[in-house]
Amino acid sequence: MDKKITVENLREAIFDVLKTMFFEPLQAVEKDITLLDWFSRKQALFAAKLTFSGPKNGFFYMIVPESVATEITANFLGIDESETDTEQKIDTIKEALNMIGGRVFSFFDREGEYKLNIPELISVEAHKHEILKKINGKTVFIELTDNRLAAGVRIDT
Amino acid sequence: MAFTVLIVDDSSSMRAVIKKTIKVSGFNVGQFLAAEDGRDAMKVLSAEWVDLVLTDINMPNMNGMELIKKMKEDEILKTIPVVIVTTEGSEKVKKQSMDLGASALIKKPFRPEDIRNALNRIMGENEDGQKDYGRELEGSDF
Repeated sequence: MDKKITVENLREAIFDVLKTMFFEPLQAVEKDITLLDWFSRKQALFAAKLTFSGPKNGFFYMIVPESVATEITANFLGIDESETDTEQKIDTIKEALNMIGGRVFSFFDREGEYKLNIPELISVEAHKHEILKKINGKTVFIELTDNRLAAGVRIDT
Repeated sequence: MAFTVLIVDDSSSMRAVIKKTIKVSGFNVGQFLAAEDGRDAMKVLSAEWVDLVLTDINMPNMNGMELIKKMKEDEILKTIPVVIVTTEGSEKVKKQSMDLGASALIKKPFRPEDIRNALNRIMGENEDGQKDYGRELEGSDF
């Protein structure tokens, strides 16, 4: 992994973004979990990917259960969870990842060498091999009430 | 006087959050207009009078920097203050924004007071007709 894009930076970025914009009480999960756990769960998952280019190329990704997508969308928009729709959830997840990616680079990229692209929704099923095989480094798992979100970064070598 | 504000962002959720933040900040906004990217924003600007533009940078079709460039080429549109609300906050982007004539840059994630402070300053600037890009502002990167 690029020495400048670290798990610590990613974790701090997630905390900053979720606390500031989504008003989520959260904590990092220290238990031993793998991404495989996510794919084996019997629940709907929302996932977004944000590619970047610069001195290194790669992508950030975030995976959340639908319940978490609903929760953070309601908090973000200031509406009741029952009022949220799928389009809003997708848009909110993409925007959350966009802010997290930007925050990671803000820790060290003063000269603007990295360029973020447009975040996109990804199908977890279609991309799991890409994510699992090519990921270079740890995934950060964050606890949100009773649910978790997973986020990570993959750097091309 | 009630202002007309144009919010340009490809995220409908972010547009809604910015709108809500401006509303609760107590600004006298008569109308909120929305655009999904710079190209869409230019269409709105050619049809409606707008007092203030808040724009993201990273958008499809026409990004925020290109939008400002287009606006500054127009004798009327160049007088409209533009606030950039973006995840990009490098020195390079700040300098580009200043050089293009943006009035403020607010980094996402933002606090409500970041937007309130920037708008307070800009509306004040418009009243006395002066700009002060060098001033360090709480919540703003300019």
